[in-house]
Amino acid sequence: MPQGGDAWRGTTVLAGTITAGTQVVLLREVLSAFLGNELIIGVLFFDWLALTGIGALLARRWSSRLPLFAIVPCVLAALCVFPPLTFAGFRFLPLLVAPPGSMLDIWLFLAGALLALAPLCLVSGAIFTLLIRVSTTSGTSNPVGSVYAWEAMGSLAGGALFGFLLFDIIPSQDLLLILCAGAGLSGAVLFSCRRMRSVAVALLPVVLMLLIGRSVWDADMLTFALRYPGHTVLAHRETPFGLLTVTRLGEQTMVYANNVPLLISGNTSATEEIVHFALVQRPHSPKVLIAGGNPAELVPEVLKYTGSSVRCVEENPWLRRAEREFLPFPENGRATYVEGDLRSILLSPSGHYDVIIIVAPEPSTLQSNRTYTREFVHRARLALTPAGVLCMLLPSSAEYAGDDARRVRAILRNTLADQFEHVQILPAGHDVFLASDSTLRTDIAGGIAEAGVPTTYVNPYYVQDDLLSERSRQLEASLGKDTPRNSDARPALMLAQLRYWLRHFAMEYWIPVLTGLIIVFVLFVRTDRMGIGVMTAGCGGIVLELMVLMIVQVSFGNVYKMSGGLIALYMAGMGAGAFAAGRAALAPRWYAGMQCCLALMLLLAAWLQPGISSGSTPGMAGLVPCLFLGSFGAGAVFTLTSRMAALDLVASGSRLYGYDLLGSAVGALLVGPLLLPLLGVQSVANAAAGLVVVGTVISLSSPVWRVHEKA
Amino acid sequence: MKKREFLQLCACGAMGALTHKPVPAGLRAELNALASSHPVDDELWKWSKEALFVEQTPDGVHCLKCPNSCTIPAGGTGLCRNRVNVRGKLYSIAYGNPCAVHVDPIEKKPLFHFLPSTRAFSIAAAGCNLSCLNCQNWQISQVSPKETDNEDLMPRAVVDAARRSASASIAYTYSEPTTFYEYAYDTAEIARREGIRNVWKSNGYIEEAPLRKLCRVIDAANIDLKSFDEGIYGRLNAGSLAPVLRTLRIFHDMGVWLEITNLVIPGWTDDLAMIGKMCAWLCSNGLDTAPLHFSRFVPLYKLNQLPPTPVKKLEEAHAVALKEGMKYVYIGNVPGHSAEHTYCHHCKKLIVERRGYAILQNRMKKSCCEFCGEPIPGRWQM
Ligand code: SF4
Repeated sequence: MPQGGDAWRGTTVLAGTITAGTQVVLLREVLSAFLGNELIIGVLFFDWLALTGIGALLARRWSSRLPLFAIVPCVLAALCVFPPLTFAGFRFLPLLVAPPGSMLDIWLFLAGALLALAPLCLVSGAIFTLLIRVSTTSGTSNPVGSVYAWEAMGSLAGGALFGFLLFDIIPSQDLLLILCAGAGLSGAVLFSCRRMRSVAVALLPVVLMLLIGRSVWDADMLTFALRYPGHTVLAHRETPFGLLTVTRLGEQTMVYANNVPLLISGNTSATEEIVHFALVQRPHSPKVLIAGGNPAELVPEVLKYTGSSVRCVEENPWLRRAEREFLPFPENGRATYVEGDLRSILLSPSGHYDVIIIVAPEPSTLQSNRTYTREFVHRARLALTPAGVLCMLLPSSAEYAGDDARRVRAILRNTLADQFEHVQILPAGHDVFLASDSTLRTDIAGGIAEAGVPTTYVNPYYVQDDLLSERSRQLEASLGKDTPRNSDARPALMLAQLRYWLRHFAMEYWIPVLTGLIIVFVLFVRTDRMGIGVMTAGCGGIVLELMVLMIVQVSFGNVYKMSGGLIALYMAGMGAGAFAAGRAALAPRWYAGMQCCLALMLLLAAWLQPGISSGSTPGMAGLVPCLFLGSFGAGAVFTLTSRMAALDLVASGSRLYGYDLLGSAVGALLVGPLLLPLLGVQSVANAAAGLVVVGTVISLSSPVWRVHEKA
Repeated sequence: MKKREFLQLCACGAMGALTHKPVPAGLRAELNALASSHPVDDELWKWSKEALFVEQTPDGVHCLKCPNSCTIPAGGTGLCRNRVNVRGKLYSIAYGNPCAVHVDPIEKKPLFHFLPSTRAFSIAAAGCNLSCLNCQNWQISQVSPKETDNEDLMPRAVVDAARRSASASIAYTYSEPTTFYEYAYDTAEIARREGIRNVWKSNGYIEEAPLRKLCRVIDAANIDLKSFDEGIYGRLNAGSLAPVLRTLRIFHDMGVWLEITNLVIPGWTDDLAMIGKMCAWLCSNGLDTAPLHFSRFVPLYKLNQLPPTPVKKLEEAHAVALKEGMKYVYIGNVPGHSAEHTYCHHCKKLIVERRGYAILQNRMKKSCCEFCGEPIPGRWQM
């Protein structure tokens, strides 16, 4: 068998594919078990990238001890064993520590994620170092850059396979297990070829378990049963919007999305509140648009108003299918049901609604925040009649709203007040936000009585208008006016919501921020000048990727496949940059050019954002080359730097890889959950571009360049 | 340097370096919000009052108010977050500074047999001696009074405000009144003198001596009996069952009007066998005439991944309770349900027809069933 040959290339690609696939699967786990918001996702990626970087750095010390011929089969064996173990850790650890039906404590998540990810990530970092060692013996001209490029290609394949190519055909965890089994089988064959039959034999039962385990027990159903005892599962499906499960408990039918109850039948008081608080404002033949929520219960309430008509919008087609089957909504000439992105639907000129009701999840992710932004509210206002009412909801602030809850409400109130003359908050089972250019009433029960609409809950028996008005006045009076507005480019509401969420665990936002800042400081102090260039490029690259994903997500909604495509494009750009730089002349101007290319693309992406946000197709078309060229630059910087490396390629390659990942890790932690909502797209792009330029200047001042020029 | 100043400094430095511009006011406000936290210091303030029911030990002051039985060293704070040891003396820092002040229908507590259709002036100060995973008011119960926005409302002012709002009673509610005992007690004393009733809405997690003293000024109590299983009490509420059962007995023995709430949480407290045992215990302890409210759970706080309780399950619990001998059983949080009404335990006729907080029909005469003359337990008039 060849020691180097093509085996290392194939193994590198497979490593990239499997790790990218594992990321996709774990992301789903995080969304399910931890109500994944931007902060949790940021922490996950930080842990992942940082641990992998550390793994690569640590492996420098012992990689030479492993016989060269055993490296590839060992890597394959590791790829067979560690990803499923990590998956199991993420799936079952929360069940051990979190009481049934409860949110996992953030502290437990931070510790648990680190614990569960450490084996896989440290090993995958070490794999990079080991593969450099193999590649150096294979006669490759630029071993470090080649491993980097082939790994990027593997990630591209993983992202494409798991993200969209096979998505509709095979569940992602099955695909992962098959790939791991494939890696294990190849490892076993190579071990047996290299006279290590006992290792090969030991690997085979693992392979067998991976192949047949999934058909013997369904991990999703098992964990659901543990988490929600007593429920009868009616349907269960992995969708691009997450895991959908339909269950029955008693007379109730529930639709869970990522283990959070999204729709619940028989929720009379909530349903009536959502509909009637808004409709009593405009009770005469109202034309109503409802986005989200449970149409089976909302629509009949709207139809109680004489001459009313209602249009229900749902962006998740899988959810709509589940609704049709298990929570059938009334077929009525006055009710229409549409699937599609609400923001796009609001753009259509046909809409002139008297009332628009938005039933959206709390704004703790960029995805959910997009229906609370200034741009969204502006569109909604245009879609309303002059006296129309926009109704939005937040969970109830109950008897008291603390600092953070008040801040969330103040930002939303102020964002609405910028667009509408009147804004009213009615604190009841939800905090109901009503906005209109015409006056709004707070005597809801009185309004219902006037309209003569029969109700079970929203009536004078349960809703006492004087007490409701008084609570509304108290809440209004406690909200500050001096808050940022929530916008597509600066999701301030998301940041406030995340901070409020952290209060559930008595945790302060500054803890992860400070962690990130300390790491940045330590890295800067300990890294050599060339390493700083790689690190800032890694950071700039991830900022570009996150920014582009945010821009697309905010503007076009939950475009799962488009996001998968963009990640694949980013990896393709990295790979292409790394390959191309292996052949380019080793000159400072090329190096500076590639860094500048990345910095410019960061600025360009931010410049394109406002146009894309208002629905511009050319702007979107411009984002594609922007992402590719930026990642091309980041990939090229890595390869060019690695070619400048000293004699010990393994040590220097793994060191650079470690820096690259640590830079990316800090970017992932700070940018998505903190800097984007705090500073906005434009400032983050400026800061990241500035960082890349500073990194370039520092690295160009390194004596290594002069040594090379002399050589 | 404080965290806030540190973050501001970092941001100002970074912004200045990048843009040569000062940090805009909006961003500064945002940074302030990010960095804001409220350290619980041990300084006394206007709303501090020396705590009742304490004893000195070599390790600190031993608080005898509730079964948590905290021994608090100098500078330390009790588990409820509103009792601090300042230089060897224990102080309540929740005296005259309620963070929630509202007027509610008395039925909202819920109290169905106590001054129906009246309003209760309701106050709460921050702090609680339990930490329930499903706490509705976690923003005030799981923090110290130094972390909440409070009103300045000394006992006298509470009574005046209650009178102005035409409330028949003052309710100590929302968070846990045991933890602002001194404030509640002094307020209740004044209120009672002035003919305003006092209502105690509590988890019942209180020691015997403070409870017996309290009974002198309290007219009605609604106690949350969260489950009938020590293990569940530990995991769900970080407390224990036995002291709550003792509280129920004492309130009953001391002649305070008592109603009991049992929140039925799917997968946690919805076991009908356990509910049966709970009702059997209540009956065998003379509490069969205490109204029992089975309340529907809605997802809240950390228990936000569970669905609401199916109404069918509540109806089953209702049936079990009646079968065990409870006389007045209600279902709460289910608008329009027929178990909102009061039926005479003797002739089974509908005597109080309720809808929400309103009484549609009252078929009682002088606190007795109009049909069979059976006295209906409760405090029906002022
Ligand atoms: S009242 Fe507070 S300080 Fe006193 S024992 Fe209970 S929890 Fe501890």
